[in-house]
Amino acid sequence: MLPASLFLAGLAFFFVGLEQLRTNLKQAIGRRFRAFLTRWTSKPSMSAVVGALFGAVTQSATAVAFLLLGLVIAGALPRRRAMVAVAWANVGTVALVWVAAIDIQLLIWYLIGLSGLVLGLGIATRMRVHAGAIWSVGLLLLGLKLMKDAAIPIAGEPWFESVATVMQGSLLAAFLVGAALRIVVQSSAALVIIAMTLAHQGVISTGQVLMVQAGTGVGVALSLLLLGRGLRGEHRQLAAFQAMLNAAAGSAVACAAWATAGASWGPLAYVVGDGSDPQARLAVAYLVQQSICAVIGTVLAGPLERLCVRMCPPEPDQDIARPRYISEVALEDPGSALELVAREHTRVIELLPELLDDARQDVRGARASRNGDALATLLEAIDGYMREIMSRPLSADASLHAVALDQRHRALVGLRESIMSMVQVAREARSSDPNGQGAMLVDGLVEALDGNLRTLAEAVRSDDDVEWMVLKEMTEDRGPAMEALRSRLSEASTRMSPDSLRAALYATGVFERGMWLVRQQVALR
Amino acid sequence: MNAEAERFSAGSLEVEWRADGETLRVSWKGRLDQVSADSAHRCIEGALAGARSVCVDCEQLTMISSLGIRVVILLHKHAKSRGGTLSLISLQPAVRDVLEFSGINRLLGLAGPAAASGR
Repeated sequence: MLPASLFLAGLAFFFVGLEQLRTNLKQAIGRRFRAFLTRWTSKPSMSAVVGALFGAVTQSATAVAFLLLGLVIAGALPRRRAMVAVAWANVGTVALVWVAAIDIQLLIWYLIGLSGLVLGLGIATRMRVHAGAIWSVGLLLLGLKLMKDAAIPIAGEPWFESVATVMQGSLLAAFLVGAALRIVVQSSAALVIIAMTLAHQGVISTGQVLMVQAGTGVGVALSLLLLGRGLRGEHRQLAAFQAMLNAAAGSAVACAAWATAGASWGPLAYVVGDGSDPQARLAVAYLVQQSICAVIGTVLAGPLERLCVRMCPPEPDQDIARPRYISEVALEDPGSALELVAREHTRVIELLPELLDDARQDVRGARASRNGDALATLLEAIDGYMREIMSRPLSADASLHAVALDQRHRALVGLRESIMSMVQVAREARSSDPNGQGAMLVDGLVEALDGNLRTLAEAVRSDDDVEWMVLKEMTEDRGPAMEALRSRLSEASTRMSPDSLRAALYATGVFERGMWLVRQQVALR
Repeated sequence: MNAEAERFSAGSLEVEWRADGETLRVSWKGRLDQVSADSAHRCIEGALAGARSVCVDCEQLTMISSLGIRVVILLHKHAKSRGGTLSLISLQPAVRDVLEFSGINRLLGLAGPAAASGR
């Protein structure tokens, strides 16, 4: 069973390497890299190049889709351009198939050796993430090599012969196996390589490898359909786009192969050829299939985008998470960039009361956390943008403005957290004693905090002096009022359940902090 | 409220109002919530134009929401801009709690049920 265990180890190295590579890439992608990406994807042709490069590195167009989605939601990349990049990422994944076709043993040892020393000896710590990425590539390639080596004697194993017997000569069986395995194994390129290795050993025919490859296209679509059930809005749009491209390309290759089976021309005739170098011919066929994805995705980007948006309309929380004003271009003029931050802050303030809507009885819980998370994402994006502004040379006025905005930002982050805590405690109070005194008082605190948040939003929107003065009066020290409320709760404690009492007492603290943070916004006007 | 009072029903809230010299006397019955708040303000906008002060009877007001607080602020701003006052009378404890938590009690006179008899 040595070959099988070697094959298994190779498979494990391959997928561990792939997973680590994706993780390392996520860590390596900082704000500067995102800025670079935004610049480089400003033209459709460059979107295609960037998509292909990312596809080559990540070995998954779906991974590229999710990587770029962050930019789409952040408003840094138009959706259609992201779709073009995803379409070409499919072409990039072909690189692995080509790499597998050449002997890269020496390269593998150098990659693993050098990056392993950097990681193991703790040298060049600044390069740790990059060394991790190289180490992952080494593991991935080592896995491929082990699978190739193991497959040589596997062909003689009895169990493999039975697999070959089941698939013997059947193009349809190969197509279905390719589609089914792609759902389990999340890498089309890996499946094609494994199939090529088996064909090399005579376990399956070269024509069947072509059909396995065509099947992976449909498998990608099926896999995304299954995964897509847990996705929403724009995530689902890009997943649907990727599914449509791959299903179309895989079906096109399969139909062409069936239609021309037995003929002296067509995909099957090409890969079988004169029997010389079938791996290179299969690699070309794979390139053609992935290129069909790219061509369809580029030529029909507009209609497909409209179709995807109609099928999967954006969710409200995704709209919340997307900055509306800040832009990378404005960073060239820090003064203007700070104004955009201020406008984005106004938008955050206007959105805050919506979060408290979720503390009321008639709203379902899932939406609350989604809106809260979306606002946290927006605040993170603004924070990163402000860090970028502050890293640039600023005039004295701009520096003061930046510091004030930074203080306002911190207060808004705290305010969002307080609101989410209030939503949580309101639900707890209601679940422990729906009509009890604790729940009624917490409901009152929710309405009072919301009233102040709406007044803050109105003051910021209108910049009306009277509105600001009203808010200033309302947010005066709430300590004594909350202390009085806690005394009332203490006196009523014997008539309340422990959970209800605890929730109400906790709510007074959350409310006090929330009001103090609203007060900060008045002070920072 | 006398026979000259005007009425408006806004879902969970009934609003009555009449002019009494420079004071607009308003009565809220029911719930001043997210649904009824906007109508509660809009229906008295015309009558507000001629009023300097506003007095709202809240004896039968059972609940006030955040948008209700905003209506109170708008009435306060209106009265203040005319040199008048806004007073809320006969407040039920639950409504009074919300108004006091919000801090708006610092801006206007709030009177509990006992004060209603003297109005």
